[in-house]
Amino acid sequence: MSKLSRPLLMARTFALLAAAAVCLGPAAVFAQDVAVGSATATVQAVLQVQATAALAFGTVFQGIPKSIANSAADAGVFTITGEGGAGISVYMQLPDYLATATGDDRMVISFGTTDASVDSTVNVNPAAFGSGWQDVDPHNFPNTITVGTAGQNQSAIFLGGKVIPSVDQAAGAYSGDVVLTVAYNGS
Amino acid sequence: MRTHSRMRLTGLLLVAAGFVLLAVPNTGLAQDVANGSATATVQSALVVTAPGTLTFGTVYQGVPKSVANNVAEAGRFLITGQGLAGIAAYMQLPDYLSTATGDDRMVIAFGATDASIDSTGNVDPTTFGVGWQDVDPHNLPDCVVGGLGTTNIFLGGSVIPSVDQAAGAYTADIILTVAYTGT
Repeated sequence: MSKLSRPLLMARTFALLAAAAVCLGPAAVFAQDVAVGSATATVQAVLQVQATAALAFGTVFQGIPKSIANSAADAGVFTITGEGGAGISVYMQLPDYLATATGDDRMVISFGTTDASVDSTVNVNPAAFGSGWQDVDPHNFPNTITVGTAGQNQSAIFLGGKVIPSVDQAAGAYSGDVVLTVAYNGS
Repeated sequence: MRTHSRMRLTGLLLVAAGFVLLAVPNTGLAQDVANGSATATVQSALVVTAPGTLTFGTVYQGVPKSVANNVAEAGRFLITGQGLAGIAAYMQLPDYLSTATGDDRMVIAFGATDASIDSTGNVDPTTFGVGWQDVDPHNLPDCVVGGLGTTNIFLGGSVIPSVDQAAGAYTADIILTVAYTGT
């Protein structure tokens, strides 16, 4: 080996080693990285519906129709609790008749297009409507109804109606079911 | 090497399945149903009967005869129904009594005080209780079924036989219609 070649060889070796160090050393950390992100979700409060008061027509006479307004003390009351301010869809299954316990007679019942009110405050007294959707159609509730408002997690539905007894309506107690179904609509 | 890969894949699938299970919402809590009710109580049916006939008895040609609403011969209608419920009553009064064969007629008249409405349980016209006394049978006032569930209407009147009135028995119908008023 010549005196000129050995230094050159050493230089080359150092260069290679340096290059290797660059490639294999700390500079290799910048070729990838790791970050930890997250996915979050908040499940809303459970939706609950209760029928707290029956629509009570009281005493009724043969041949004399009787109406109960949705703002009367005898109006039916449903309470809805859940996430305050959340949008809900409301469907009410209304009867066509009230019947005796034995089923031996039926009495017509009808519901007008203003026989329901939805109170989005915490009020449950039909005679003291707060705010919300007043005098709406119980066959077709508006799709903008919410469970109360932000911070108040309750709405109430007040229901009126009309019974139409026949002139030979059998005396006795009559009843019919009103079924309310409520679901979150995501709005 | 293959075994290692298969185990790793299996582990990844299990983790993925776990995420799927955790991510599925409990849809049962997103809606609810409540059963309410509507109720009514129909009152006792209204029943009207005519247990007492307005009886003029023996009548003479050309001599009018009156029967007051507070004598034993007064007519009587019995109304039963829901106690204290308001009722409206209408009485269809005849203008004539007729023979069975219809061969003669005798005028009958009713004055403005020929009826009384007793809302107690009393059925004797001579012992009027409480109610509406001496009212017009052509225009009975709105009244009530008595607290005991009955009301009676006592009816008087006058017949005016002609001087040549045919002898025999004369009759006529008096029709009482009663309905609840809802009060």
